[in-house]
Amino acid sequence: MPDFSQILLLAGIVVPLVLMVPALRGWRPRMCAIAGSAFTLVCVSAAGWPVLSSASSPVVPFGLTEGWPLVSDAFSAVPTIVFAAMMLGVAVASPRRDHGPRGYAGLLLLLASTIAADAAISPAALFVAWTASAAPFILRMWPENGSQRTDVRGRFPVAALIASSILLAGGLWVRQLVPGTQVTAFALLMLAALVRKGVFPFHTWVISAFSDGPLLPFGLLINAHFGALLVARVAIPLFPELAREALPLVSNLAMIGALYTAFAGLGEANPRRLLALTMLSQTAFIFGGLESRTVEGIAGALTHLLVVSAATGGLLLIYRLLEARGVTGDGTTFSGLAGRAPRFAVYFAICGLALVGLPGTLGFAAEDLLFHGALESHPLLGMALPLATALNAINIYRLFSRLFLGRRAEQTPPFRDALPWERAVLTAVVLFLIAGGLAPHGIITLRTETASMLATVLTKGVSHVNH
Amino acid sequence: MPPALPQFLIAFVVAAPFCAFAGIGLLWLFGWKPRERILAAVSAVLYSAAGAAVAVLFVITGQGNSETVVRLGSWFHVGRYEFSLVLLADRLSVPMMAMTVLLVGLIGSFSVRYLHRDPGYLRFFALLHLFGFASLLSFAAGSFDLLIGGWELVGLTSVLLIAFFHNRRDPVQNAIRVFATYRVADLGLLTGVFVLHHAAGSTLYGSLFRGHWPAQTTVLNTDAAALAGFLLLIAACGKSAQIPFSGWLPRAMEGPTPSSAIFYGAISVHLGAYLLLRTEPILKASPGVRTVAVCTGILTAIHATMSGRASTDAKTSLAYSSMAQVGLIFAEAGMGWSWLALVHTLSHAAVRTLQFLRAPSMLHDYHRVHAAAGGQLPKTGDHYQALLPAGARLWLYRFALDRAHLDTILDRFIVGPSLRLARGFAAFEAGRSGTGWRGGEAPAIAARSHSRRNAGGADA
Repeated sequence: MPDFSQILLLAGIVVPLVLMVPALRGWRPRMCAIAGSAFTLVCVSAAGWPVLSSASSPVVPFGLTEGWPLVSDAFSAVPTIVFAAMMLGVAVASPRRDHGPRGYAGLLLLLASTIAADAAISPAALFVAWTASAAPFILRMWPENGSQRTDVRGRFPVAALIASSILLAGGLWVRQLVPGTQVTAFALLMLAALVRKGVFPFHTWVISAFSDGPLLPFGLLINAHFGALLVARVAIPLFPELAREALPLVSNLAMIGALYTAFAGLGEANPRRLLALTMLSQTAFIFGGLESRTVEGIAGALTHLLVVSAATGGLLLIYRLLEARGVTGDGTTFSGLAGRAPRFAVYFAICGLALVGLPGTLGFAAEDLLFHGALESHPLLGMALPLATALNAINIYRLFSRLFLGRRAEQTPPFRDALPWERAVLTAVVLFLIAGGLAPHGIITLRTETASMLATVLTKGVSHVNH
Repeated sequence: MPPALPQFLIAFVVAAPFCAFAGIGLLWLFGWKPRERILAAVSAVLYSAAGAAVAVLFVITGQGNSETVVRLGSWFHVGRYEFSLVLLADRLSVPMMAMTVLLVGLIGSFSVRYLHRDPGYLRFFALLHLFGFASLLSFAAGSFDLLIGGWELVGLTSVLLIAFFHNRRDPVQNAIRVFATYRVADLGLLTGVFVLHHAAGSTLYGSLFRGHWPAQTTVLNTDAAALAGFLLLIAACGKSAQIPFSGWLPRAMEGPTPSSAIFYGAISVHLGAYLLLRTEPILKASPGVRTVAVCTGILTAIHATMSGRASTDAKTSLAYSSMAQVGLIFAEAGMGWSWLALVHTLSHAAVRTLQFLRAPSMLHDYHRVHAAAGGQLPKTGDHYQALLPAGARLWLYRFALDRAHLDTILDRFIVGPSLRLARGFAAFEAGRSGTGWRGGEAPAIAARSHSRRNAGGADA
C-alpha cells in the first residue's frame, strides 16, 4: 500500500496525463499545461518535503520488483521539484505559437514521464517513463520550427531517442533473459545513458534538435538529465564493480566531449547551435564529477546538474522569446537588443555566467566542488574541466555580445522587453541561481546523501551502503 | 577598543559596496530607476563611511596588530572539503583596501558630473559598486579560494565597462577579446589554487604561510612551490597586462574615462602585482619563478615604454605607461623588495588615476604649459634617439608601432589557427547534424590587430 508521499507523487504524474485530453481537444491547452505543471509542482514538493526537511534521508535502492514502483527519496526529490518548476516556467512564459494543442499536451506528457522516471525504482516503471518522455518528439507533437533552410525532418533526434529506449530495455532485462550477461547489460545501460545524454560521440542529435527542432521542449528533454539519472540510480548501484572499471572510460569520453564541444563553439556563429554546444559541454561535466569517487566531486556534479537545468533553461527561454519577436539575427552580426530589452540582457548575462561558474551564483559552488573532486582523482583529466569552462565562458559572452550589444539594425522591428509573466519566470530562475550562490550549503546538503551513497558504492561496494 | 571592532570594520568595508550594488540592481529589476542625485549621495556616504573604517584599520594595523583575521564561517562544506569565508587585514591588504576605497570614492564623485545625463549612468554606478566590492574582496580575502571570487568579478566588471558604449562596434569586439584573454590567463589562478590545495590541503593564507607579511615563509616544498608559483604568475601576468598578455590593455581604453582610470590606472591592473606580493613566500621558495617574474616585468617595461612612445592617443599612451610601471613592480616583487613594490603600487595608482582623469583635458593642459614655457617645450628622448642610426630608428619605430608584434604573433600562430580549427569542427558538426553551416564572418576575437590597433579611448 503506498504511503502519503507516494500517493502525492502518483497524483503529480496522473493529473498531467489526464489534462492531456482537454489539451488535445483544444480546450484551453495553455491553461491545462499551466495547471498541470503547477499541480505537479505542489505534489512533488509535498511528496519530497519529508526528505528535504530531514537531516539524513536514505536513497531507496533500484531494482525492486515488488511494492510500489515510484518513490520520493534523497535521489529524486530535488530533481523532480526542479523539473516541475521548469515545466511550469516554460508553460507560462514560452510563446504560445510554439506549442498549439498538441504541443501543450506534449509538454504534459513530458512532465509526467520525467517525474515518473526520476521517481522510478523498478525496471518496468523506468522503461515506460523513459520511452514515454520520448514519445512527444517521436510523434512530432510540436509545430515545425520552419525558420531554417535545411529540413532535417527530425531524423537524428528521433533515431537517438528510439535507440536509447531499445538500449535501455536491453540493459534492464537481458540479464533475466540470458544468464551470465552482466557485462552486456551494463554496456547497454551505459550506451543508453550516453546516447540519451548526448555524450561525445553521440552528441550530434542534440545539435540537430536545437538547430531545427522546437527549442524549449528539447531543452526540457535534455534538462531531464536521463543519462545521469540512469548512471547514478541504476548502473552504479546495480553493477558497482563494472562501474568502477568502466566509469573512467565514460568520464574520459565526457571530458573529451566537453572540451571538443566547447572548442567547436568558438567557431560557431549560429546562436541555436552555439547554445547546444555549450549545453553539451557543461552537462558532460556531470559524468566527470560522478566518476571522481569523492563525495565533494559527486555532490558538485549533482549540484551542477541543477545549475545546468536552471541556467540553460533560462538561456533557451530568453533566446526563444527574442526569436519569437523576430529580432535575433543569424549570429554573424551584432543585434544590439540591449537598448530595447535591458531586462532580457541582464537575465541572459546572469544565467549565462552562472552556467560557467560566476562567483556569487550556485554555479561557482558547484564547479568548485566538481573541480576539486575531479582534480583529486584525475589531475590531468581534471584540467579539462577548467579549460572547457573557460571556453564556454568565452562562447557565452560572445553570444551575449552578438545578441544584445552593438548597434541595432534599422530593419529590426519594434519589440517589447520582457512581459510581466516572462519577467516573473526569469526572475525566479535568476533568484534561484543567485540565492543558491550566496547560500549554497542548503542545496548542496540536499545532494550530499546521494553523493555519499555513490562514493561509497564506487569505492567500497554496495554492501557498505546503509539503505 | 572592543575586540570585535576590527572584524566588524573589515566586514563592513567589504560588504558595503556589495549592498549598494544589490540595492541598485533590485530596485532596477522591479522597475524603479534611481535618480542621479540619489546614486551620487549613496556613493558619497558609502565610500566616506568605508574610508573612515579603513582609516581606523590602518591605525590598528600600524600599531603592532600586524594582522586581523575575520572568520565568517563556512560558505559550504562537503565531506572533508570546506570553503571557508575568511577575511584578513594585514600590512599588505589594508593599504590596498585603503587605496581602493579612496580611489573608487573619488572616481564616483568625478563620474557624477562626467557622466551626467549619460544613458548608462545607472549601469556605470552599479558596475562601479560591484567592482569596488570585488576589489575589496580580493584584497581582504584570507584564502586563495575567496580571492578567486573577487578576481573573477573584477574581470567581469572590467569587460562590461569596456563595452559601456555598446552602440559602437569596436568597444564590443575589444571587450570580447579582453574577456577571452582574462579567461585564458585565469586558468593559471584556478589550477594554481588547486595545486596549493593538493599540496597543502588548504588554500587559507594562515595554513600556507608562517609569520606575518612581508616576513613570511611557506609550508610548501620546492616542487609544489615552483608549480603553484608559475601558475599564479601566469594569472598575475594576465590581470596586469604583462607579456605575453599585454595586448588587451590598449583595447580596454574603449570604456569611459573614469572606468579606465580606476581599472587600468589604479586597481585592476595592480591586482596581478598584489597577487605576486601575497604569494611572495612561494616565490622565495622557487628561484626559477622569481627569475621569470623579474624578466617578464623588465621585458614588459621595455616593450611598454617603446610602444607608448609610438601611441597616437593619450589614453593608449597612458595605458602603456601603466603597463611599464607595473612591469617594474613585478620586477621589484620578484627581487623580494616587497615594501618598495607596495609603495610603488600605491603611488603609481594615485598618479596614474590623476593622469587618466585629466586625459580628456590633456590638450588644454599641454597648451597651457606650452604657453607658460614660452612655446619651447623640449621633446623627451630625442637626444637618445639621435644616437641611433636612421635604419635602427626606423626599425625600432615600426617595432614599437606594431607593439612588439605580439598581437600579430598571437593572432597568426595561436588565435588564428585555433579559430580555423574551431570553425572546422563547427562546420563538421553542422554538416553531421544535417543543419547546414553558414560560414559568416570570423568571430570577434580573431579580429586582425592592424584594424584594431588604434582603438583609442572614446573620451580622449
